Amino acid sequence: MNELIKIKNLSFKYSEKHETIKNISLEIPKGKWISILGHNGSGKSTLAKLLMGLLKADEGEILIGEEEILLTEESVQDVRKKIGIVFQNPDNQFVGVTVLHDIAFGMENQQVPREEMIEKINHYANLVNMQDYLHKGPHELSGGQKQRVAIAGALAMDLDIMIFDEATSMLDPKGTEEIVDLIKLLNKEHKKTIITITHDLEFANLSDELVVMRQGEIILKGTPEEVFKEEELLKSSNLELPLALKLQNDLKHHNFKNKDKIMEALWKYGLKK
Amino acid sequence: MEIRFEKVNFQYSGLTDTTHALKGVDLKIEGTGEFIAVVGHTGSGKSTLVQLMNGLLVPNSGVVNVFGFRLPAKRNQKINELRQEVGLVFQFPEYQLFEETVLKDIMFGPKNFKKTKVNAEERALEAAKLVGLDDNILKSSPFRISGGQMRRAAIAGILAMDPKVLVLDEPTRGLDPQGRREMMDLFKEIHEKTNKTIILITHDMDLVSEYAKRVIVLSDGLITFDGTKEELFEKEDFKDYHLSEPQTIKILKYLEEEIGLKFKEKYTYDSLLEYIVEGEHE
Amino acid sequence: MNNIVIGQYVPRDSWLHRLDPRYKLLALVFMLASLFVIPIRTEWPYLVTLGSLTLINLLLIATSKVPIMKVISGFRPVMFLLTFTFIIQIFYYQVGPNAKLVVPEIPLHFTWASLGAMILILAFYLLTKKYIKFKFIYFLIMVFGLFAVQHYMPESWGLIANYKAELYDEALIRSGFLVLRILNVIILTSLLTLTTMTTDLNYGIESLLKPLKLIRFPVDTLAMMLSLTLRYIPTLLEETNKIMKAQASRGVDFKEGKLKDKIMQMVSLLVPVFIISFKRAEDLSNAMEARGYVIGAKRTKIDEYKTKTPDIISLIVTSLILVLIIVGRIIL
Repeated sequence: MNELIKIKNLSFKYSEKHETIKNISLEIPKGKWISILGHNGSGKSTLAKLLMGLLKADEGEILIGEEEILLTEESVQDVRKKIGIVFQNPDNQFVGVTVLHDIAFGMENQQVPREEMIEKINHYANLVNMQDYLHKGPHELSGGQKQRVAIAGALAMDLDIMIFDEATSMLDPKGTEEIVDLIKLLNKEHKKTIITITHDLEFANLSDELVVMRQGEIILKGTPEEVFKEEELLKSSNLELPLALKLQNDLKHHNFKNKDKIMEALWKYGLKK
Repeated sequence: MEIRFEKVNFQYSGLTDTTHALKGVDLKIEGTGEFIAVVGHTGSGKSTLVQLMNGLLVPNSGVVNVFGFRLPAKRNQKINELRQEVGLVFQFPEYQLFEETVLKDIMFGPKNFKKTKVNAEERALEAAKLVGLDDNILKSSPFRISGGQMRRAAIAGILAMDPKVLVLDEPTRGLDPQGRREMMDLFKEIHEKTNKTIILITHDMDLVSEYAKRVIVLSDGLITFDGTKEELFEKEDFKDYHLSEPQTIKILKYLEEEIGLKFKEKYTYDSLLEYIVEGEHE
Repeated sequence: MNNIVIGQYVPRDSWLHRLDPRYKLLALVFMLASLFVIPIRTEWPYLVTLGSLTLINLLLIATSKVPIMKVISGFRPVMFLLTFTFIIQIFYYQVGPNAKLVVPEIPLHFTWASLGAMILILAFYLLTKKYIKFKFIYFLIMVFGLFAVQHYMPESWGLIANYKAELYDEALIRSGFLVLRILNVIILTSLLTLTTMTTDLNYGIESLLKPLKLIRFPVDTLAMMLSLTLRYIPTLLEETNKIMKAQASRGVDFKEGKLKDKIMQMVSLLVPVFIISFKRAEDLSNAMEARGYVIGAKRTKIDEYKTKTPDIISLIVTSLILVLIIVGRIIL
């Protein structure tokens, strides 16, 4: 019970040649933070688009929310009121001429009255710490700042589920840190259900559950601790363990002083959030 | 044969203000054998620095000397040939692809320079082989291949120009972990095989500790450090540079704290592994 | 490189800046119409009317607190065209019976020799103009040279045709009239873009087009397209700049080259920019749809514009001016 997203036997093809998603089933509980990982082309971004109704699945079902709304062409507008998404390219999702206009965009689409919009803009701009930039244009902002605006825009819709599709891969370390901190805040304090799509296992370590994809299929599912034990499977999807865990794995075949203590310490370090 | 910066200043004049991007920079880079990481916060002047090396930008004051070619150049002196000597690969270089086929695009660079015009196709094929692009890809349109292949094609395009020095602006941005490793191993291979100087702009301290020999730290247009990576990471006041420590060091520090394993500076993964296995840490 | 200003907006605190964009645009339309409704005649009532309008425009510039150099720089693109028109008009306008010569007739001989000399002058001008600082003055000197050569070189050196340069007062005034009118148009449109933020301009255009909704014209969608275009201009400029640098690093010399090279330079720039734009279009449409945007659906607006007194006054005054001029034209 309490699953906010239910994916059942989902399949999707972009073209006759590649099957992008093959019979995926997944359940995402309310308030949890799930990371979907895999190589470039494994289908993780496609899955995100399917969840948002931007692509139509060939087979299978997606059920959203506690009411278990089936995602169809008719219900897609309702579903989009429940899930927000932040994409990878900070420039290609910034619609407004200024920060203010961009945060307002989603609300304008929902015909939210003006007074309410103003209130929400101020509230969420503050939350993401962009309140001093309301009249700035996107070309005056860094990548991290633009992504923060995108988050504010999604939150202003009072959504419970947020998808972050490689939202930090085009950012510098500072921007990445800003976004990661925000995601942590949203999940821990605001109890939002979070789906992060990434190929960074260190980042994925912060989440509650990991789902590893390869060539359109789920090959591994579990907590970080469970998933990190499977180095070979992870490698097959071009993923690399955090350094300490990689080290720990490579050390397995050697014999050396204090092996047990060192192995344990490395494992502990690698799983540190 | 070297690249020299002597008291170089550079300012960008915007419509409402000017940004002083580089302030009195002095620098010397050998034409061969160096593997340099250029690090610094966004806006510290890293891009400006490398664009001054191939003449895309010209100093407002001071002199940049690239293999004997002085910048600012005299009126009417052609800067263009300089760009063959210093091969600059921008961030997300896949955006520069435009030709009908991947091979043609890789040949584009060499065809533009006197030195490499003659056997442009040969050079292109060699470069393609070096980055791991097969014949099928060479025949395809650059827009029908994967993102990772596009990036490799773009880099091959610069390698085919046979530059003396290779400058790369965050070449691993946006790549998945394996892609990142393959790319860095490629540069390592080029460096070891040809002894070309490689200059890498990066934010990733782990890349620095794994691959670089020398590190230049920029902050607000000034060079705040120029030395070996060991010297940098072992500095007393390393914290003041606002750079993260490499993972290898963090792990070693943790191991010392948790189980008393004697700390010793190790920067590459292999050396760390070796250190633990050889057990000199008692 | 973060200071790309969209359009020419210069932030100032003036009544013109504060005008509601809808009224500002309408007022502009009325003023432009007024300028073009005045018949091009050289009698004094018409000249006075144009003069008054010019004075009004100058007053507008003064009260807008916008630096006058910015307005003048708006003249630059058309200066060559204006000079050309002015000269043609002066010499070839058919004057009425009452016209008087301003200076005695100047005989001009179009000979093979003078043709050769003109070609040489033109070639010299084209080759050397990049070294000259005051390009417009140099241009005028060159044009003067073209005429001087036809006057001073002897008739006998391969005569092709003889003609006269007749500078009549009527023609001079008329040419001045035309030029002044165009300058006024530029002043007005410059003032609009200098005192109005692009978002406001967008809103103004959208509002004025609203009546078209009655004939099912997709005004809202058009406004969204315009807004997105405005939003992306600085981004696109920056990206084009980056691509130029990347291609320059591959040996493309954007300053030199024969026609064939220029084409290749263009291609190496345009193809990547197009590709980026297409990717952007795809990403953007996904993002917009994900945020609940439906083309043509009703939306509320975060921007609100309230009509104030100055807005109404501007509208009344400019419409009065237009009406007066129309009436004047009919009567006189």
